[in-house]
Amino acid sequence: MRTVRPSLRLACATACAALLVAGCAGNDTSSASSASSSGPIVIGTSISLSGTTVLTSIKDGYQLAVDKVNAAGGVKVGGVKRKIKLVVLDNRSDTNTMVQQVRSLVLSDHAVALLGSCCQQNIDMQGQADALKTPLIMGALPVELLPAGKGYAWNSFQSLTDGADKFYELAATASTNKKILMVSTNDAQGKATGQLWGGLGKKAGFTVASSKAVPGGTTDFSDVIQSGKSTGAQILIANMTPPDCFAMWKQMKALAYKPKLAIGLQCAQTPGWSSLGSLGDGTLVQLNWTDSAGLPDTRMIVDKFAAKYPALNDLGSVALGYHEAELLMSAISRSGTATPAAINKALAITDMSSALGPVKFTDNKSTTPSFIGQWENGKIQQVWPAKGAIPLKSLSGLR
Amino acid sequence: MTPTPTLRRWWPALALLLATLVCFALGGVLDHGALDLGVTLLCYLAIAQAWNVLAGFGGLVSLGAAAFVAAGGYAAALLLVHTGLSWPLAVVAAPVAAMLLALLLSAALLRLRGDYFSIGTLAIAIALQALIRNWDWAGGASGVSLPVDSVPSGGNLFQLAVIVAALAMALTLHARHSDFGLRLAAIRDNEPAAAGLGVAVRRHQLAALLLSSAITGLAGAVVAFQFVVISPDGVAGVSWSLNAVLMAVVGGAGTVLGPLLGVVVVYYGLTRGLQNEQTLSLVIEGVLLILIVRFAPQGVWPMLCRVARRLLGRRSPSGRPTADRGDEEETVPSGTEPLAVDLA
Repeated sequence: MRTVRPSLRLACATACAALLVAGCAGNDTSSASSASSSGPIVIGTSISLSGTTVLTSIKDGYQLAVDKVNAAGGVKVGGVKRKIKLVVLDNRSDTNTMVQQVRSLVLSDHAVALLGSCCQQNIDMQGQADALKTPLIMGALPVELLPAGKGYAWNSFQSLTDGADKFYELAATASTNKKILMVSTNDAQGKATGQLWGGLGKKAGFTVASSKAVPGGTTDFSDVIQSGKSTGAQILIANMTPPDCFAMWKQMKALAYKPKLAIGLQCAQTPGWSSLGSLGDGTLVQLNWTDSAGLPDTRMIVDKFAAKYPALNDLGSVALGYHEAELLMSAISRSGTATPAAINKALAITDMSSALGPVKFTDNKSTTPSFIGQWENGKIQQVWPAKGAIPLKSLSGLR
Repeated sequence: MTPTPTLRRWWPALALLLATLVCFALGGVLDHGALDLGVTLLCYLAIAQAWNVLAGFGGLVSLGAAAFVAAGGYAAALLLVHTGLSWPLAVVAAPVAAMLLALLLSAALLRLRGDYFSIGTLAIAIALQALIRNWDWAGGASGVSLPVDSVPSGGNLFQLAVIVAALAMALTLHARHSDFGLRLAAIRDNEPAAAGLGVAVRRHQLAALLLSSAITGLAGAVVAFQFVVISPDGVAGVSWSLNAVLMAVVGGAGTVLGPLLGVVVVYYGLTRGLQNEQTLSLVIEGVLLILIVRFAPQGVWPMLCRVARRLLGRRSPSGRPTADRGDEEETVPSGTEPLAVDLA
């Protein structure tokens, strides 16, 4: 043990406390007048750009929309054109960091509105938007999963119901015995998705022959696969994270389970799916955007980002980001004052078309079209709806 | 002028009281952004100090602070949501819930030593998070939204956080200056010897665990009020445990003021200061921890004090371990004490 003089301790403690207080007082780094002056209007997002989920493509979509508006001189608010300043913070896929960053964006950077992240983080962010009375535009969360809030979170994205209906429409055109093996993660979102897809399947004339809930991180799917084989299920619906799906697909091949149709919800939407190589060929995927459906601004998104993001689902994420930011900037323009309350009111009466399709909010939700795509040689192509689609191919990866 | 022995004995408590009053008054002065940052810093300070009492003074290196943050946060939130209690009562329930959890787990945890205790606490934090994720009454994976109008915010929340952080500092001061703390340090340094001298090892460790969990649970309630939405990934996230360790170790575990410095350096300096460069921030945090464990296992605070002493040409009466518990002297674990070895 060593000893330290109290006078030194006192001096260091004073310095430490001064730092703490100075830190609190000096954190106000941006203009407090974002909402009322003629200066730039600050909008912000805390998005996952590192860690378990990387949403760089969504961020690129945000930036694309902001750059486009700023290149035209900014958004017109109350007769004055004002530039948009987009503050993007990486929350490292950590919810605590996200919450702290969102609060900092609104309370210190004076962001007048927020753009979303993905999935569960959007739900956590909704609470902050409501508490801080700051509008939040989000996607990447099926509209059914947005909880009822205080009215500051707005979700414009595809719905689970529409996606499932599209899948069953497609499955009805294929030659199967209509028996389903349903595998979902055992969290709330997994359970809700599994129940909804199962119920809609029954309505569409399919039978859930086996339904399994597995914890995230499962590596041994032998009993799940065995149940699929023993029940003769020819349709696989897997609602899991990418690593879990990767493991299951490899084990299906090893155990010679050969369904005729397989869709990977969540997992097959990631670009990492192509790392499965030919094993992933033929797997179906739910899409929120395709380049063949004639959606607005498709050409611009493809021209700017096709080289960076060759996979259709990544381009879809760019389109999603662009869509959210465009909705928000339209509302800012229509708000007249660019205050959070005015922007929120303007969002409620949104009636426009953007990169994901037409938008009109009911109960803070607006459903955009769903598409079904199919992986083939590391690329995804739309196979349903029929307009703009290529014919469905076999599940060759597991054959 | 030399302070009287009485003043010397009580000056840390007086300084803490004064600092608390000043910070409390700031609650009516600072703007919303500063208040929110202050709440975050004070919550981290309380959690880091609670960890410090258990690990820095008691030698029980916990990786389970998140479990007690979750216990306190969820207790307060669920009472608010499901019973309509007022928030002050919910705050009171938070440490009670955390202590009950600690009491429940103590029979198993306190049988473990060293790395096994650390792993046991980490396992409990992860298990509790999984339990909450599958507990529908607690909102499951989506969590629970608190009624925004029923929880304190702004200056009120800041003042609540000041009180919680002050309690944590007071607990640490007590551990530093009381016989209880001396016995804890004895157990930390050599448990068999302490037991041989008549120190009730289990009783003191249980007391440290309960007090630490109570403070952590209180901080959890403040976190819940600040976050408004509590979810397994947020309030029960393992990052609370890791931050508590990081902040206390960087600042100086086993010291009173080290965790305060650690909170400022880690959260304000790195996490917040480099929030536009999160990956860089993570790398620096990791490198910093490695460097500190390797070259300054007592933490930055004692190192700064040593450097300052050298610069001023002052030397301690002895560089050797001492049993002197005089109020003027800071006692920290020496360079290769078990704490540093465990963390390495």
